[in-house]
Amino acid sequence: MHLYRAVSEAMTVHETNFFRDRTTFDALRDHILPKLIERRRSSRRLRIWSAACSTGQEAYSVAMLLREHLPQREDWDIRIMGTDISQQTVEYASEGTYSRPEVNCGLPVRMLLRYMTRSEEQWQINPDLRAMCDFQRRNLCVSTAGLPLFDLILLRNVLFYLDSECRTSLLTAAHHHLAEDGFLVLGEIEQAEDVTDLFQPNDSAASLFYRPRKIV
Amino acid sequence: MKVLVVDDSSFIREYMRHLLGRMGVSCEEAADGSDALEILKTHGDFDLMLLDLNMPVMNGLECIKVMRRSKLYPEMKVMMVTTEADHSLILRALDQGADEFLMKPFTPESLRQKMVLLGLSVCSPQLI
Ligand SMILES: C[S@@+](CC[C@H](N)C(=O)[O-])C[C@H]1O[C@@H](n2cnc3c(N)ncnc32)[C@H](O)[C@@H]1O
Repeated sequence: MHLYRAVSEAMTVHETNFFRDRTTFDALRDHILPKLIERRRSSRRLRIWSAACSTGQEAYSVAMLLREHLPQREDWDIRIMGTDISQQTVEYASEGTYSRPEVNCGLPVRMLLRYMTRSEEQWQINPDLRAMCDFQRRNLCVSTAGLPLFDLILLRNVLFYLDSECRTSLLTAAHHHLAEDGFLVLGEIEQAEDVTDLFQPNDSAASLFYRPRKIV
Repeated sequence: MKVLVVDDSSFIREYMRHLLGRMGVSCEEAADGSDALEILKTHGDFDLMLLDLNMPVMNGLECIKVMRRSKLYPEMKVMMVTTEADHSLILRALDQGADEFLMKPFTPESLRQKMVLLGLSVCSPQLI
């Protein structure tokens, strides 16, 4: 492993869990995803980016919500892309195998039964859910070239690890890669002052959901 | 908020009481299912029952069955807390009327998150 990579693995906190932050996932389920589904009713295509996906629980949680709430899901073309700077967590996410403490935390037990299969002390994400997600290593501070246009970008609990230069270039890139009528989601305790140049809060100022501003 | 902790291990009951206390939640304890039913009849309104599965006298599954059938406090949430993790067993517990399932061993945070899933508002466990 490159030294740089080894250092960044050691320095970053990968803490995450399924459905982390109840209010965020409730809003996704009740407002944001229904809106996106309505807006994409004719193209039946959704592109979602879990930027800084860590071990993948965020991406799989969104996949589970879509499985639960999307009518005629088979007719839809859905891709959820998870990226992280850490090779280890990306491999873990791709594997889709979770331990007891991981499935114990935040995941409603009915979802566990529906979307995961147990073998001994491991729980494996079921193939149909796994097939909705792709994972790749990517540094958010380096070019985002090659990424598609997304309908929903989750940029949660990562901004505070980045220096201001990287935050600025990342937010510009996120704006560039977000559909005009798409949404950006930040973490619950994330500072958002520098977000508001490019994005506007969806509802109230306290919202974690943002819509891109039109840049002329 | 009031919680009924049902477990045959006094060590686990003590641990739960401590954890819940740190979240600002008070609790009563029962050592098995029939003990729990007695307490429910006399003490009334609990918001949540944390129920072990394998206990002497009356086990957890039997306990929810009797409780749900007798319509004792239908709005009280029941969360199974057990080392068992077999899917068919979890399914059976849900069929009998359990609302959630927490596997032992668990962390304070995973207990809190499961309580939040049940719509119970609890603060983060204070570090003491
Ligand atoms: C606390 S986790 C957040 C996981 C998930 N988004 C959540 O909210 O639960 C932060 C993740 O950001 C990743 N990360 C930190 N700096 C990064 C960078 N420059 N590019 C991509 N990922 C980065 C870390 O590897 C870590 O997995």
